[in-house]
Amino acid sequence: MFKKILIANRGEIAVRVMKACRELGIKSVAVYSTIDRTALHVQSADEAVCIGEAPPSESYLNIDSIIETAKKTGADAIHPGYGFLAENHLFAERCEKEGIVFIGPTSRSMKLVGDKVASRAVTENVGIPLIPGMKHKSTDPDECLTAAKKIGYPVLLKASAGGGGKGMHVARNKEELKEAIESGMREAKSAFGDPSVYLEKYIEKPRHVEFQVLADNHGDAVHLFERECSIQRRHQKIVEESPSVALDDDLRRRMGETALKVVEVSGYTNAGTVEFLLDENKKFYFLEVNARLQVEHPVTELVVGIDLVHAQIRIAAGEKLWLKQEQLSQRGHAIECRIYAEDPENNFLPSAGKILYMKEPTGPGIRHDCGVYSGSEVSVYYDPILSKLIAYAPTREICCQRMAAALANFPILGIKTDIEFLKDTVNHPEFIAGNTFTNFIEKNMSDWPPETKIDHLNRALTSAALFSSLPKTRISSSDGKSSIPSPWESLGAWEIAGG
Amino acid sequence: MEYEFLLNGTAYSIKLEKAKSGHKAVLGKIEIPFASSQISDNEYSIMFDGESKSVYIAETNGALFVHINGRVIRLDKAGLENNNFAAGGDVFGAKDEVSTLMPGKIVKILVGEGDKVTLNQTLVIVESMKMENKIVSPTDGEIKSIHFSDGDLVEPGQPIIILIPAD
Repeated sequence: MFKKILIANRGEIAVRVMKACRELGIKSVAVYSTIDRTALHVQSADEAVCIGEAPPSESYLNIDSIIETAKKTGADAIHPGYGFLAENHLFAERCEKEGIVFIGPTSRSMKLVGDKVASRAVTENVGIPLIPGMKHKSTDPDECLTAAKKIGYPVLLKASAGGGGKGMHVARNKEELKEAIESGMREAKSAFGDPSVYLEKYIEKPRHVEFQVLADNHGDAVHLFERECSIQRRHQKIVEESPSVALDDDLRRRMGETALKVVEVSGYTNAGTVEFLLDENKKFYFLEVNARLQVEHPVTELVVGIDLVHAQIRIAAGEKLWLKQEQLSQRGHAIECRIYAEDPENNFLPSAGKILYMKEPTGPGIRHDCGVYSGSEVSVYYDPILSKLIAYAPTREICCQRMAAALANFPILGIKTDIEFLKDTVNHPEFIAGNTFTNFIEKNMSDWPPETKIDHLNRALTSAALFSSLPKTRISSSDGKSSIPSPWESLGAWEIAGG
Repeated sequence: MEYEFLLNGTAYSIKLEKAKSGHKAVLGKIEIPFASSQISDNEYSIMFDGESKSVYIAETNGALFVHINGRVIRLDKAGLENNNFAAGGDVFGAKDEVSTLMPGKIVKILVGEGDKVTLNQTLVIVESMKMENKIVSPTDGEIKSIHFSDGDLVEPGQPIIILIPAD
């Protein structure tokens, strides 16, 4: 087993991986940019090294600096988290060359599955169902326009190297596509360093269903069932759950087998996710493999009872898979909500600034994977994810209620967040009924937010007046008397540093 | 004690007075009796008519964020200019100005001075937090002046483009 792992990431995922390291008796090394000196992941690690300036290209994407830090600190493995370098095969390859274990797939299989077009070719050969689309990536707008005509509108434009919805656009006609190509290529270049895009048929009203897989370095693999991640804005997931209400045992088994076939033909190892679109007629199409730990991995952990980060580390260390498919099952229901610093009233525009105050929700079946704290600065430089709230319950119905209650008791003050939006989403009759399609937000949440009720406003005003009337850092109640007597007052003279 | 707060530009006046037990808030003709205990600087337990509410409040630059019943309401202290712009959901500046809500980099300005534009036409693309955002025209009109170039960094509220609104 590894002695020390460097975590080449920040925020909640870095903190989550560090916790796993601690549980396995492995030392952790944080890397951070100059503006992240007081970030939670720096506080959570055993060691921390500043690797560069705030722009990601100078710090969290700075391969030389990260490798040098791993060597200097004696880290024998690197966990990339998600985002940043997690799916950069050149980084994985560099780790391999330097003799540092990259906790993830090999650079070769990562390169294959990361190239959506190459991965289509490989999977198509073995009969895995695919959405009609371009045969290869392109940087030529005319080629894309010709392809779109052949595929038929609407089409979906994607960054070839991408993920997380960056560089992704729907075009319903030629004019929209022209604009989308320009914008998509720019975003792809800026986010991934590669402007290549490709087009595919856009399927209306689908569900996004993905399968978690674990594959060891010795040819054995299992799947850990599905997550449904249909609730998306800007093509990026914000609510995920397991199990999916859309799957029955037979469909689940067929999709799981398909996922394992994808893993097999791409020679994939470690933890990965095979993404599918499921249409209204329960026909499924393979989308892509996410060659990383997913943001939404906790819902699988809760339902299947496997710690995925532990599993990643053990597999990377060369252990043989200790799980058999037939031993695995889903128990209960889990929902994750992604807490973003963003403004749902304003097209989910990211919101930077200082978190003046926050209080994490707690209670039975509540897990909070968090990367910030009261007083944290949310920077414009990085992805605006703050944390993930996960609820687990015996049934989906209770799970929805548990999640809604936790979201209602989750103040984050000073910056905009999507917490209220998420609460109204999981409380929505259509969500509770399981009518979760990727157009859910467009269809059900377009008139959000609800109008502020006058009683509510009056109580808020009362509270604001009360807040303004009271001196700070003093415990008192509205009758003017101190409600908790200070020990200095009540106990008489104290002897300080006596004896 | 009397306080005045702004919500989306509307002013609300509120008085706190002693009542038989605890306090009452007076908003015009409405009286709201309450009893409160301060739990910490930012956390209050308030009884409204026997209903127990946890209220969380924080303040910065005259902006108060009040969390009650699972919702955050931002109230601005009246009479204060320059409330923290980046912290809350401010609307675009005046109708003849185009600005951004987030610090960011101007990727592309899509119009030129003298161009006729229509409501919701994309004028500028700004990148913030790795996402491209389209800044649209708040009105039909004409481009009077452009104050930035592609690649420039822009702060929230800085006018990027000045428009002459059509009548």
